[in-house]
Amino acid sequence: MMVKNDLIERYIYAVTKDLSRQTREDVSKELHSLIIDMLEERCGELKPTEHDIHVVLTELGQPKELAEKYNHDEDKYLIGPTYYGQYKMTLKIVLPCVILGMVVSSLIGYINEPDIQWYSLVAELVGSTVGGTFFAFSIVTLLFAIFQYKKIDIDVYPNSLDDLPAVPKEKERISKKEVIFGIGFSVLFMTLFLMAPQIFSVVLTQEGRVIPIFNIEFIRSTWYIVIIFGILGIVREIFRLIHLRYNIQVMVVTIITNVISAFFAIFWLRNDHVINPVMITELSNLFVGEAFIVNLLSNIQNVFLCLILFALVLDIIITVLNTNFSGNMK
Amino acid sequence: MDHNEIVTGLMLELRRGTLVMLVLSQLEQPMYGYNLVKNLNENHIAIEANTLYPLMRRLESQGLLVSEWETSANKPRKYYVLTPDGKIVLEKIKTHWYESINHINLILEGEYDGEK
Repeated sequence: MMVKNDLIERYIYAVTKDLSRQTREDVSKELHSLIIDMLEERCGELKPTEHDIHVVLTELGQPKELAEKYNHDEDKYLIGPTYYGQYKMTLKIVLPCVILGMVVSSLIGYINEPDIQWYSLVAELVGSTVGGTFFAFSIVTLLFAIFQYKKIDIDVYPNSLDDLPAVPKEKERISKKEVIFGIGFSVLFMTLFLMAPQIFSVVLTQEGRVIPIFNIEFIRSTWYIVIIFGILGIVREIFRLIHLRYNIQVMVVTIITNVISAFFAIFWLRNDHVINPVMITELSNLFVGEAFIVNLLSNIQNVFLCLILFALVLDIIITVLNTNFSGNMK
Repeated sequence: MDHNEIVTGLMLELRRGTLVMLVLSQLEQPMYGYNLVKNLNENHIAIEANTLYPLMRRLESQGLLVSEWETSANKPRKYYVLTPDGKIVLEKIKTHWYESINHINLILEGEYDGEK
């Protein structure tokens, strides 16, 4: 007996539509044969009516419930129960930091645009803050989605009692304040350089001229490097936030993010474009005769580069020194 | 106090715990899902097809059952049967079950060892 029925087809489709392709076909066939069996049980040799089909499908249950029974694995989650708590906690810290950072940097950015109308200031402030918040939300979500997809073990609470990490010593602890400061710094850096690099300026007081320190056009054209710096900084801080202690995972992430940042810093600062050449000549003219300062000015990109590399290396050293190696990865 | 409601809930939990064992025990010979539902129901084990069908798929993905479509008859049907692993698991869980039942019965009858 082969029953073709619209309601049965709709029911089976509703149950199986979210299953993977290989299982979908098999489950459809199996459900179809089950429904036929149930109809036969109910009607015997008689041809089932629409009412019989209704009764049998009702007995089989709501399509939604049946679909859930077939689709119980964890792979259906973008961010599953294992990571959800950490994800929410991270958002709760990151988003306020970003909002605050965006507001502060927007306001700083408008200091040297005193002519701006208040309504366009408000509009840009709201626009950039909303945009930045969504950006941060996406970064955090993407990071946790990768944890979920790759089943990366970030669980702070291990399965076995023996694996419980020691109570962190004072120096191993990372306070939430440090993390908030770190994220805030990354956001400020990113937004100021993306939106208002001209605010970093030298003011020549006697002439009242304002000379930007950076080559605005070059900075604008390498916006992606600024974003990479920012994202690397935020990712590093999120790992610190998850563990709130210096452990091996935090150390590895710090080393990786800082080494990548260092490469981009070298790429960015080794080509003599970042600093505004006008600023160097103008300042050199002011300090004629002071060989040390003139020398410093002509090498200012390398000085910046050295400072950045020093900060990155220092961060790695501090992290390694504070890391507890006797504990496990947890 | 609604005793029946509480008892029904407890029964449900007890049955849920024994379901896999019962299903495995019936599949030494190949059988299709609806046949198994009817068999169990006739033997006073209330189980619905919408529970059993997803359960059998899960047991198959765990390697305890293996399935095959029987298409030669006038209706295609999917038959499930125990794998060698499934047989081992069934024997082990049965041993545990009998032991537990003994202990539980003794406790329920008040005949357990120990300090009174």
